[in-house]
Amino acid sequence: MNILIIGNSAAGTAAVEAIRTRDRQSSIVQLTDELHPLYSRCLLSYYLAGTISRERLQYREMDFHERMRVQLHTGKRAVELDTNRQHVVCDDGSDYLFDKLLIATGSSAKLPGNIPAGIQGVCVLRTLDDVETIREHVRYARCAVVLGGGLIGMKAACALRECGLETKVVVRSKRVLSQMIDDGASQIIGRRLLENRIEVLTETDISEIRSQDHRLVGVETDQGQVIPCELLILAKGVHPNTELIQDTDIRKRQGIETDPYMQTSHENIFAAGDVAEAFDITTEEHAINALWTCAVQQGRIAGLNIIGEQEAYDGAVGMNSLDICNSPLISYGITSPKDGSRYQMLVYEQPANNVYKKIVLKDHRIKGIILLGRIDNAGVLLSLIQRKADVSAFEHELLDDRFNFAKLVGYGDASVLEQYRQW
Amino acid sequence: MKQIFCHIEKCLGCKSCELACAVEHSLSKQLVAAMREPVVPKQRIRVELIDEHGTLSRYRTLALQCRHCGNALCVQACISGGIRKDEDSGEVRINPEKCVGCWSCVMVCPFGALVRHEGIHRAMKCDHCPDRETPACVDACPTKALVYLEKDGVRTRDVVL
Amino acid sequence: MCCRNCNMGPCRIDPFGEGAHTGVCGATAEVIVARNFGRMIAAGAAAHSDHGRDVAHALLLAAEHPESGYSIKNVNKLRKVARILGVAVENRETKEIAIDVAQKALAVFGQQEGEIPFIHLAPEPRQAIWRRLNLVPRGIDREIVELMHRTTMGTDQDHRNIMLQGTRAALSDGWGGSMIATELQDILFGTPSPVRGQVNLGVLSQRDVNIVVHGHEPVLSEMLVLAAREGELVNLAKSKGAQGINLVGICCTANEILLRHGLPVAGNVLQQELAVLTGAVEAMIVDVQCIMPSLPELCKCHHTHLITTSAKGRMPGAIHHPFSEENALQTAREIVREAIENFPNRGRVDIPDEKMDLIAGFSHEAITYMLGGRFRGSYLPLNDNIVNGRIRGVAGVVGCCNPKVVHDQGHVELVKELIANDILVVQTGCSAIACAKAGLMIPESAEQYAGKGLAEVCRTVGMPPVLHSGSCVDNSRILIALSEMVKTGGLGRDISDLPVAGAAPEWMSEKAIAIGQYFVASGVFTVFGVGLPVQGSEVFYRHLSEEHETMLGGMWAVEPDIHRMASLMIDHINKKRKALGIDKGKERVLFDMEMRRELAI
Repeated sequence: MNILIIGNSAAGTAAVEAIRTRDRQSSIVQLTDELHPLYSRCLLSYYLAGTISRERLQYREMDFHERMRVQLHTGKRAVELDTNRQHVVCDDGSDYLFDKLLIATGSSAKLPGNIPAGIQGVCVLRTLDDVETIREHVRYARCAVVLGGGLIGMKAACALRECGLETKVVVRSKRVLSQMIDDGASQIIGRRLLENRIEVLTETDISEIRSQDHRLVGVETDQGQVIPCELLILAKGVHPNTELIQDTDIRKRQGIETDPYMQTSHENIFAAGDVAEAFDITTEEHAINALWTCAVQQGRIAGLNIIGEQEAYDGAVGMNSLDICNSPLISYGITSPKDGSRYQMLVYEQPANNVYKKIVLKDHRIKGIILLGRIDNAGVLLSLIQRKADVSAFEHELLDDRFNFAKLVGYGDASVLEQYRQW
Repeated sequence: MKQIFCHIEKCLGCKSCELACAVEHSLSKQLVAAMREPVVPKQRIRVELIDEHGTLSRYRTLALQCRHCGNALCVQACISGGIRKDEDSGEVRINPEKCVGCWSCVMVCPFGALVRHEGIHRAMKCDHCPDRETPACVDACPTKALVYLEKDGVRTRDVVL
Repeated sequence: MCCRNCNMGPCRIDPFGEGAHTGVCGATAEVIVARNFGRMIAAGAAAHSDHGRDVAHALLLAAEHPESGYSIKNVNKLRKVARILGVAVENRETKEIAIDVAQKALAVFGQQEGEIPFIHLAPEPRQAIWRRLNLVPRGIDREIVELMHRTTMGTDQDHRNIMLQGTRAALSDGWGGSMIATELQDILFGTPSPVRGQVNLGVLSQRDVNIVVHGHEPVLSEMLVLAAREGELVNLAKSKGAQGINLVGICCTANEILLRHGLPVAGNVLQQELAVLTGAVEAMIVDVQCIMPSLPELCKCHHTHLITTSAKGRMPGAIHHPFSEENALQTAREIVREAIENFPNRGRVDIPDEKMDLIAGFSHEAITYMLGGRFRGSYLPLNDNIVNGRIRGVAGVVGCCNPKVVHDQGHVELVKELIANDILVVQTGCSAIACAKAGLMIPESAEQYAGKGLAEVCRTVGMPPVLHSGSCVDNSRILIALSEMVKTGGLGRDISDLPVAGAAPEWMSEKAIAIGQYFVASGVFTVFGVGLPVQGSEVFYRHLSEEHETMLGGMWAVEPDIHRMASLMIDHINKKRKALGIDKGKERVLFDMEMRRELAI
């Protein structure tokens, strides 16, 4: 069987590994438009901050593809897909036939419409090349502005602060990490940022870029403030790279639609990662969860199903882990429901100690969690989300720092112990 | 692959396993010297309280550590590729040099087996004591609640939650 | 850092800082460790002191009932001790003096107020330090009881305060119970003077009835010595096919009969089971302390009769011959008879061919006469040679043996390194037996192992470089010897000025902790090997080391590595020498009257 994988990041790699645990015969060809050896995108902010060296960005060993008997073709962007002939053409003219295809093309940084192109110092933070560009600017920049208060924006801001730059974050909503956490946690985070001299301008947007000789010299906000700066990071989110299927009949909404086997509307074409939409256990809807762990999980499922293992994906849970100025933060699912009336919320907070814990429940099932400052045993709570477990018996203990796996055993379900023994 | 199992009915909650684990993962491997090491040795096994329905001691406790899952979620979550499943032994191993302390593994482990060493900002877990024949906790357990054996050769591949 | 003092526990503090930081009641690591340490002192002091109590009873018996077998051997010492205790001696019968001395000694145990008498033997500045810190024991039993009280749940929770009481209790042992034991034993059984003996398992005899006396109290072993010499019993032995009766000892009681009678020592504490394994022991007779409860099971494998004698020390499986001082000699005879009757039951015998000669018997009096001469006994030659540097200093190497380390190796290596550095070594207990086995207690060993200076002194005097001073209660002899050195002059004004150090390289018993504390409290730098159960609390360890040094002039140290231990001791001795100004030669200055008047002596 000829397997073609487009994409050499989380989902693509997971698919390779999953396939190769069962099938060492089928040929795997993997395409990537990047030239670098397989690296972890999530580590880029650490590299920018100077915490790790460039070598540590590598996600797998140098001989990974060789050992996995994968033909890796770098610098190739797939531009055309013929679903009838099962044929892909790349931008350099090369073409590939496949028996099974996995589209794991990921996503790209969103560029706000009002930002002109071609200004030096205006950057995104998505690829290794992006980071190298930013590093160049860091060398001379005095002040950096980050547009966007999401995960990437926060990581970028902290990294730039680490580099010694004066750093400001411009955020359209009332608070940072508005998709990830709620007001309560956000307040504490905001304070931590301030303590580390990262200024956050909320309910603000950038209205104008100021440049000189095509070099960034400042930005103007819609509140009328002018901020002189030499570096602007656009962190307004990502959009899935679905260009490849635009001329096909493969169904997509925002991302490529998939079934529980990560299969698209075409039976020999699969999708996984940032480009794909899958069932979300917490929202009970289909959506993209552009997160590394989800991409890995989906890639693995896709890989298994490509070789006929018939493994179903239970569904994604949006999950993030972030260390902001030495305050660890983990969140899952729906943390700030729009229609609060259908949800029950349990909150525990100690703002003075930068501690905030929240559980969002619907019909005694956990739909969202925020853990700020106390993240040990977070995964135990995730397992309750994934299992859609009824937690009414121990709801009152969920926020306790001591809640752990053993508690589940105590309340259990002999099945929990069986799982322990079966591992 | 051998696994460490805890017989709950024999576990006293004495925490000898925790001490032995920390000492084994110190530089000096001696209790008194280990206490003074600049990087505090971290235990990777935790005695956790189940409930108060014990017979041997009033509480039921479980000495819990990494289960070296067949389909390890931490391997999936690790953004640096630092947690991998060893092909030969089947054990899940952390390469400390790759760990950046992002705590993604903590985020996913259904057993809470990943331990955060806040001092050096790295994640750690049970490694079955590679320098020993039997893991330190198993040797230290005074009631033999902790045992190290093959579970019928079963290497369940997937997480069943 | 475990506390088991109450049922809210047992509690343990996590040494790695993750789990509990205090006990359930809030006790911190230093409180828990201090209480545990204090209780070890209490236990050790209780053991020694109880021993002293028994000796005082024996003295009373000797005076009132000489037919018991006890008698007063050293009348001079009786009179000397009487003076210390404030008993009149002029124109009085020995018997009367003895009764008063015994009763005064017994009273020290029950004393409630005041000062225990023997501390007045310490140099005045040392007594002043104790008085200033309120450390002078008021009475032996009182201090131990109060220490136990203070360490109960919820009472004394200041680690320094606990240790003040610990020091008082330790002093009530060293200058109280132990000293009473030693001095009164000298009165009853004779003050030791240099004597030849043999040591190690090879002293067991193929052809004699072997009787091993093991434990601590010469009130038992001395009676066995008498009984074993009686003609009737020797003949009985011969009638059973033996050539005679061979009485040997293990542990401290061995040291007692060695020093006074030159009787052989079969081994130290870790050899008690081995003696039984030779198959050559007809009876092992035990009293109290350091006796392993494995012995009854072991004796079942051989013909050996294990005989307990003390109501305080019973073991299931042993034969009990209750021994009271009143029927002492009679009981001793019965025991010896029983042993002889057992001789024909010998099975296979396998006695290792290990035996070593030694010289023992260095009581502080003996040292006085040995150094100073028969007519004008004095420590002056010792002090003089310390000042002139032939002898760098004096070290006390004492204590038990511990199977956590290679048996005896610590003692022997340490002593060898010390004497190679011209340090005169004084020993007691199992440590002494260890070095005796290694051949360090014969005068010839000076030539082989000692540094040039020490060897020269040893050659001149005719003494070994390692002096066996007796049993563990005889550590009190060392206290008196140190006081004598100070009084003799030239080496400072207090024990803490002396270039001396103490060590217990392989300690195991709580008694060692009590001894360590009383030496430290008397101004001596003392280092223990293997480990000390205080290392869980940095704060407490600092109190035992730095703060004790400031407060008392003496301090604790722990060092499992023997060579580093030697370095610590040598460095300390050098430090004291430097402080005294004797580390380098001085110009000889001819004093005129003016200068003499200015001397503040």
